[in-house]
Amino acid sequence: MVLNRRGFLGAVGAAAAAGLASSSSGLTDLVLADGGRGAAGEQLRELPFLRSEGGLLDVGLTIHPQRLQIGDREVFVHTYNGMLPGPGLRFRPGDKLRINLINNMLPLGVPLNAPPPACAVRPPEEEDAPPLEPPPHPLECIPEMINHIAEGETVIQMNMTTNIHTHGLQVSPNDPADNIFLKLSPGHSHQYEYEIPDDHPAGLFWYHPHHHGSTTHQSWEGLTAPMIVEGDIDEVPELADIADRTIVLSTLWINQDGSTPSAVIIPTGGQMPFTTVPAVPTEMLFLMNGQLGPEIDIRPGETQRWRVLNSDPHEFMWFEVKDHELYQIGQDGIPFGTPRTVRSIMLPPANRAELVIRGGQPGRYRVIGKAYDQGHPGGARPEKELGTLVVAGPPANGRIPQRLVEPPKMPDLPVAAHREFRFKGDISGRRGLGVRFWIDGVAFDPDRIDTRVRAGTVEEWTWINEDIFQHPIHVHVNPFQVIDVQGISEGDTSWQTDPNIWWDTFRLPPFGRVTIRTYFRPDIPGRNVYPSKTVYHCHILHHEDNGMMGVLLIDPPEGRS
Amino acid sequence: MLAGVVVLLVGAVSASAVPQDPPPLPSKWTHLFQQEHRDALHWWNHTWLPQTVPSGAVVQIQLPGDPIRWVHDENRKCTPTTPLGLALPILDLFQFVRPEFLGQNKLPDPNRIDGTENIYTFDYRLDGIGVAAICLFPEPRPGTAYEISMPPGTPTDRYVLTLLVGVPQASLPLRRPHEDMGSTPSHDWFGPSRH
Repeated sequence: MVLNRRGFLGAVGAAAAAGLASSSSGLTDLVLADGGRGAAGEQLRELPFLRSEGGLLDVGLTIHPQRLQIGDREVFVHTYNGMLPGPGLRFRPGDKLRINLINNMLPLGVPLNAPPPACAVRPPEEEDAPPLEPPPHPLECIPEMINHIAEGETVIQMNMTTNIHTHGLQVSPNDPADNIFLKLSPGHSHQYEYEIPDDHPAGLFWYHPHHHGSTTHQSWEGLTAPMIVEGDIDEVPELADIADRTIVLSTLWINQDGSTPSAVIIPTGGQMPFTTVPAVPTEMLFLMNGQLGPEIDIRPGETQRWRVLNSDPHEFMWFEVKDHELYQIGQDGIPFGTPRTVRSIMLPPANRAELVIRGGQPGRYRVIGKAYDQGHPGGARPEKELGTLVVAGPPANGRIPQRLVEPPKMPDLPVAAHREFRFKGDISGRRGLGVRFWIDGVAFDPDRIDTRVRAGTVEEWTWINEDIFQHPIHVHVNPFQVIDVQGISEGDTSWQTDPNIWWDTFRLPPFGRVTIRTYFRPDIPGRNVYPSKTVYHCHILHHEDNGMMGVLLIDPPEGRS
Repeated sequence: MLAGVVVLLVGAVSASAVPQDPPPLPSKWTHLFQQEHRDALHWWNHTWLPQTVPSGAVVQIQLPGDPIRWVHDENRKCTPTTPLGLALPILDLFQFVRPEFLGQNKLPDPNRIDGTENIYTFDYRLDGIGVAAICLFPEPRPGTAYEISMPPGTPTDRYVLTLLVGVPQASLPLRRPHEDMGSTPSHDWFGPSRH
């Protein structure tokens, strides 16, 4: 389902005016309340998209609490415009994207089991910091506590502060574009504006909150939405006229009131990978397009295009459709030259895969996230039931494309710099409440430049993992190719290491290392004149929120600064 | 601080005294605790307070271990921790709730936490109103707190978790009685949408 902005917002306004309960329109249900209304086994819903017109897509996004029914669960979480996932956006290379973001968040999910740990010491910002000093008198923490409240830095306040990141888009990271340093408190709004380059790859991207300290919480509330850049690959004959599904995998982490707990998060093993301080009972819901266990219809022999996003902040999704091959046509929004046939596709947090699937023999086939040991405490994360592929109806004769499009090429330039980065964390709790994750021994500091590069150059970066956790590392506004991977565990068949694939997020093997090659484009609007400040970080967002993020400064091309 | 404790404890008793009919807790709604929940750890800066759980709560404690083993032993003395580092044994004013031991397990966990190889899990059920203390014992007793993933200064003879039992589970915002899902269109919460 693709709606233009006028039609889409008109539907929302009409629905609000008429009152939700009185409407019988499927669209109204979809927009305002439905995160999967009804019993499990319902049809996978098609996500509504807003599409650019005349080179412009101008949208308003309001984050506000919304009560939703998901399967037999009632949840009460923050959403974009009342929707889970948020409204999809479609535009073309050369377009302008404008987003007016309004933050109307409230304190949800604040546990009343104990007062917030206002005076507890957090783990140190530096990996080699000395052991904890004997604590001062508790009264000495009061000025610091007051300062934290004034700065909006308590956990509850942080979890209501937001901004937006257009994940994967090759745009300026400076305000008013993809500026993730922005701090948008409740009651405030911000006007974003993005110039999409004329040669931007066509594929699946997404947007989500990126305020340091609250990205995990807001992701577990379901604040995520797809973006599609349309372009050349859409014209491939075998793809042009087939069903085009966007599938957003997400996870809601909820307490018994249906809200995401707003408290300090710490890891656990077993079925539930996290708990809080104070501890509250919780549940995780693994969703496709906001639904629990939906059914996806396909005819025998029919081909469909699936654009799959894992927006979960933590869980790796090793995506598989039983007894069906998948023909991958793109990764992280950048198309391939030819399809790659796979049985399953690993989607760590933030990764996207674009696929063609052809219906097999009539029947019902499980769509799952396979069990996988991503390094989390307690061993392999369990298998997840995501949905069911239902093959039925008259046979069709869908064709798998043999050729796609010309993928972007790495410029043939000498490597201007080789750099190394070390990734390590401490989840023990020995040095303070919570966890801490570092890059090169230090936690994120928005006022410190960790890496400075120049636009128009090629660099090679080696990421060294000193953890068993498989950190999926994301570089903002700048895709890369992976030229070497060391340390893949024996028998682990989930890896794709073809150096021709472009990524914006790539995981590090346990205690392994990955070398990437990247080109800092000098021609991005805004980036070609001014220094551009952005970040790279682990996309297990719990690691990012607790320090595993570095600041990247991209200077303008030689002769332009 | 003391006033805060009194408010909490009185609140706990009052809340538990109010006739309530909370839904039964399915077993999957477990209160999960791990090493960072141990009572009065050093980094609480003398501000630690016990948390509440409802009557009927299922509690699981996860502790990193091996080579140090964790042991449940009902024959050893286990007393609640006094909050805020006070000498006054304020929790003795409350009835003691005896945890019901449900079982234990072990999860593989090599290389996550220095010096440990597995996670020991212990399950309990807590029924009633009052104070509960759950103790688990490391064997052999380690020479340093580091070996059991605790901050310096933590007593190495036991893990102790003190809980106030009998307070219904709640979070903000509090649910309104008979609140009807979907009866309030989202845009009414904040007035007309501004886009």
